Amino acid sequence: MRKGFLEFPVLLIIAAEATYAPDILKQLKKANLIVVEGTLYPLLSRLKRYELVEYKWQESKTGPPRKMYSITPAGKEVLAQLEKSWQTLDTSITTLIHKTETNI
Amino acid sequence: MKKVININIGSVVFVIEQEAYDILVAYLESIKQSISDNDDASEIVGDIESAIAEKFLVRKRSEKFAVTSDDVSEVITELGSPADFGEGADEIHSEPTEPNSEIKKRLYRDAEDAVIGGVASGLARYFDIDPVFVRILFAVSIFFNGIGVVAYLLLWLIVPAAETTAQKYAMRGEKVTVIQITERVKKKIDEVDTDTLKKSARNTWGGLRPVFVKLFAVLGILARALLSIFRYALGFGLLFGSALSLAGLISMYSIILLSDKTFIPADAQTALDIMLSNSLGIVAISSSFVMMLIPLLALMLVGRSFVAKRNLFTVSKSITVAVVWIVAAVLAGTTSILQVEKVIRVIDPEVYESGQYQLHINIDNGHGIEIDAELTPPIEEEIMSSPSTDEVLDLPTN
Repeated sequence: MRKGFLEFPVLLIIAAEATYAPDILKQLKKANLIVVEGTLYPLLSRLKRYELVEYKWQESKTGPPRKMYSITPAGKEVLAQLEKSWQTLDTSITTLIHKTETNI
Repeated sequence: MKKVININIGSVVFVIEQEAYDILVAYLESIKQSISDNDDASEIVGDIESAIAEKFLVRKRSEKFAVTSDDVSEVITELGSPADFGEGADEIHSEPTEPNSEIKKRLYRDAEDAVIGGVASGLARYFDIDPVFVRILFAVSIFFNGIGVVAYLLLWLIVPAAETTAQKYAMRGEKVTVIQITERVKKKIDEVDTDTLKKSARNTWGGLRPVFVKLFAVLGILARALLSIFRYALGFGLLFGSALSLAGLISMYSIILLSDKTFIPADAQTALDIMLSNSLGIVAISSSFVMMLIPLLALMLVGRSFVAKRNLFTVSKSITVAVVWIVAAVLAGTTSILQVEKVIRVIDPEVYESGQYQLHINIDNGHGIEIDAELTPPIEEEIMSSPSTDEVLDLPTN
């Protein structure tokens, strides 16, 4: 899986609700996006640096305090653009696929 | 039986087996290395540590649970290899990059393969040769004034022993990877058996050695502390000394050149006026300034190098500066010789004349004939053309 692409799904997960890293990982795995956990932390810190996400510390009963990530207004904008370009790309690819199918 | 350690990771305290601890430390260390160019490195490491803590908690089987090396290996496989953390891993399946390919080999004493203090084996590791050769060299050197013995003792004092896993790798010049660490830690268990065998083989020395090892450990700490104190003292001494002289030099030149010079003797004033009134004199003044400036700057850099504990001189810069200095020195030398002649003639014709007089004596005595004889004729010519010719010419006859 190309890591440069991972920002998109991670932003989608965080936009849905505030989550922390292990939950993000679980959801990615559920969506069949196989990731090594190690790649997630630098990615999150990068998103935070670009101010697309922010986090709040949350106490945990069982372990160390957790960083709950949530999306920022800037992050929402980027996400909207990403979705838009994804859909355009998706339609173009689908048309191409259908074309080749009809040709065959 | 296994030794356990208490650690605090992600603000949770765990009991962990020594072996597992070594692996974990090496793993975190290599992650730090692979993300060292990331600005958020410390934050990411913090995130990873709390992730590790959570994973340990999940595995916590009972209150008196100690983290084993199996637990650590599992956690590491879940988290991924150190290379996955680096920014360079963003490209899929790119060539297996080596994020820290420049591993600096460092000189350590190898305490695990030591006959006396591990100096020979440490040197052998550094130069990638068999320790036997180094030991033979040291043994042979005993017959040559025992110089090797002194060198050995000094090295034992100054060179630190490789103690942590990372140091042991630096000694061998190998890269720290998780697999290697795990292998090493496992190998250690085998080494213990051979170690005990080795010890029983050298019975008497085996009894004495620990005493010496302890003694030298203490002496070594003292020697290294003294060395670093000396280094700082020397470094700061050089820095302050050269900075002060630099300030002195600059203020001296600026006072001489910029003030009205009334406070210096009249002779010196005329001398300066003469030098400043012709281009050669100005060259002499400025080149002598550069000539004195460069060594002071070099001394400052030496001082800084001592304090910073690394060599701040680069070859290309040193050569450039040296060339500039030589040019300045030659310029200053030649031009000021010419100036001195001129100045003396104006300020004190008698001295100038007596100088010439002595030149004649020198010729009579047969000392330094060649150089003096060459100097004499042009001086005479100049005197003839100068306004005070009569006076000057009269003097030697007196």
